[in-house]
Amino acid sequence: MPLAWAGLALMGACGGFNNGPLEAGTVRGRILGAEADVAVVSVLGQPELRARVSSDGRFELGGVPATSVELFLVASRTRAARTKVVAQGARITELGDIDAPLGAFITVRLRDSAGNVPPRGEVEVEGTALDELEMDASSGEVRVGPLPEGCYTLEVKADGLEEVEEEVCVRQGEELEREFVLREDDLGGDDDGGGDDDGGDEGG
Amino acid sequence: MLPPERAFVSRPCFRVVLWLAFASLCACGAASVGEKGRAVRVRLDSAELASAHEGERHALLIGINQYEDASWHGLRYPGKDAEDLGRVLADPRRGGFRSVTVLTRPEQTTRAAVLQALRTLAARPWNPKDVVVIYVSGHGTLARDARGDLQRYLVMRDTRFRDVQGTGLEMAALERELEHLGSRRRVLVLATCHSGTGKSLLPPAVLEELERTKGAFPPRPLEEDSRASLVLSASDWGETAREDDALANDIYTHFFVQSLDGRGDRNRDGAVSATEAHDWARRHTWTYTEGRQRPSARMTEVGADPVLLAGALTQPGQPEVFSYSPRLEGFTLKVDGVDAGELPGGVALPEGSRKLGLHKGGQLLWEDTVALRAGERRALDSLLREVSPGPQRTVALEVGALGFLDARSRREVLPPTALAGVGLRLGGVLLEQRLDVGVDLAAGQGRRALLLDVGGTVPVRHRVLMLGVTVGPSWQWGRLGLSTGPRVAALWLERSFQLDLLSQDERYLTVWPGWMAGVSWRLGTRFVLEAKGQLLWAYVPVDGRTRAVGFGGLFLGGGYRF
Repeated sequence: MPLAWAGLALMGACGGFNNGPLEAGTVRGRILGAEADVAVVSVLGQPELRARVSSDGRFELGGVPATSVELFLVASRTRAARTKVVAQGARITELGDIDAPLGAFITVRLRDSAGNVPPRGEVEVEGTALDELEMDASSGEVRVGPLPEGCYTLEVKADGLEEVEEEVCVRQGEELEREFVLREDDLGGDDDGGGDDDGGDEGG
Repeated sequence: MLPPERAFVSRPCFRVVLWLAFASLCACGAASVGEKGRAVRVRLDSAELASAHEGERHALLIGINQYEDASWHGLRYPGKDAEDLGRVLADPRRGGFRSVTVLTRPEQTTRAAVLQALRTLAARPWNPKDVVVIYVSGHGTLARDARGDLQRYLVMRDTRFRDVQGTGLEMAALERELEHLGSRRRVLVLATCHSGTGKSLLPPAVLEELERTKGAFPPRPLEEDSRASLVLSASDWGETAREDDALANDIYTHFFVQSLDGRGDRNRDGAVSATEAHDWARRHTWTYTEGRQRPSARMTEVGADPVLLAGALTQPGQPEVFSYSPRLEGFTLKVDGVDAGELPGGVALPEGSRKLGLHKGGQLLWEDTVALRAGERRALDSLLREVSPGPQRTVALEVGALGFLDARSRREVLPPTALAGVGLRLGGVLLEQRLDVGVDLAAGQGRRALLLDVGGTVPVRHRVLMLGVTVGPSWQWGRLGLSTGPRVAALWLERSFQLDLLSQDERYLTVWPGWMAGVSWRLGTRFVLEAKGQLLWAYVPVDGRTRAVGFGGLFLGGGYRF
């Protein structure tokens, strides 16, 4: 009998519901004094959700989870900000104008256990758009920034050496230096994090 | 003995028109009567009672002892029956009738003479409040009429056994004469019968036919067709009416007359009504004949009974409950748990709230607490009708809410929706009146917000349309009713999004099985309050995956029974 009921129900059913489009929205705003060539907006913790900024500073970031998130904004070569937003499903959330303050910079110095500059060193700020920052091969340094005030996890790696992570907290406009000694990787790991073709230095 | 054809005038100043037709027929066969009109609750105070019973009282009493055709054996007491009754009715201290005409002499009791007497009576000016009593004591018989139908006849003095149709007084003819009377208070008392025994004789052909008949006694009882307000019979249909030498009367008539001296005043209001007199005579006839003769009564205007035969109303009487309906015959009326009498009949009760119950064979048919006041007369039939659980149709307007049983589906798929609708319930239409069928249609909409799993909220307009069919039993305890049963509902759900990035309507249509349970409370005869709950079970596709979910609804409604 229950099977008969189920059959009847299924036979008579059509249509259905889909909540997918309701689970993400768009965040829109304008960054004052933005430098379009370097400016970027991303969701903190989900750096794949990022958007470029137009020359007038406007940006539109889609696919933002319909919940409370924090945006990581790089406005220019020296300014950056973090801002919380509650994205609304299938709707546009207007942030208005954002005036980003001076960002902090961290100069990361990489060395191997012998005190030499390691090959193809890279630095990444986890959860942000500041990733794959290549080390200057001559100085063995990477200038990371601008970073909005807050705490971050720096991930430092180089070919054939063990990856190192360290949490660093910065204040607005602060300049920090950090030296990382990378030990040899017994497993010979190379996560292929560094490329040498574009030579971009986000820290500028 | 009263001189024949003497008109007794007890109150010359009254314009009394008494429409009483007494035909004592030893009727042979139980009969049912189709009730005409509705039972009414009668509540009268002294002044109203006095006013209600204004009017004159007249009587035509016929008693036939001897017959010209020797085939009809002579009877001893019909003439005396008529005279005894006439004496009591004419007595100013008892009946107080304006006129009492007694026909007993040979020349007065031929068919033509009786018809002439009826026409003379009809020629009087009548008032609807007048009371008329027609009483017949003599032989009854059955014969084929001109169309070949078996009919009841009263045997007149000159009625020939071989030609009953041409020489007897057909009940239909008596009915036609009664129709000419302008009173609404007519009582027909029949101290005869048609059983072929006792005070009746049947032609051989009819008797042979009856002996071969296994069903009910063929011709319909007089009471079924009579348009008289009240028909009182000395015996039930198919039984024998008897004379008794010790009483020197027809047995029923003896006790009927006895009641009019005041003993029949059951409710102590100072007067003896026709039904009080009959109940007195019925009870004593039953006892005297040791159950072999059961006088019967049929009322065509149940409840009113404003026919007073003796005395005058001096005060509101004790409240009475009664029934002369064949469908309640044999039931025992209990008052506050104590036997008060067997139906048909009536009983007088102390004033106040009384718990009344009808029992038969150890089973309870009906029970209710009824507030009774002095001077009130309540027909049990009307009390039963108020709560009768028989086949009924109820149409109801309902409001309620319908939603998923699980919180997650309510949160993420569709919020509860307020509904308004209409329902039709047909009581006892399936399985020999054991199951009801209900059909309901409800629709509603709302604007709420979905709370998604990721944390955000999304406003949605949602609509629901439901068409359901329920089959199941119902039970009634007084005014309280319960019903339940399986249910199938076609459900159409829609949710609509009008958002910055999404303008979309989504719909789902399915047929769901489920269960319904309801409780009702009757307000009077026609109206009922209902509360219903229903559970449904279904598969609902959400995000490409099918969920097995429960759905629940609660509804409140008001219904009209018809």
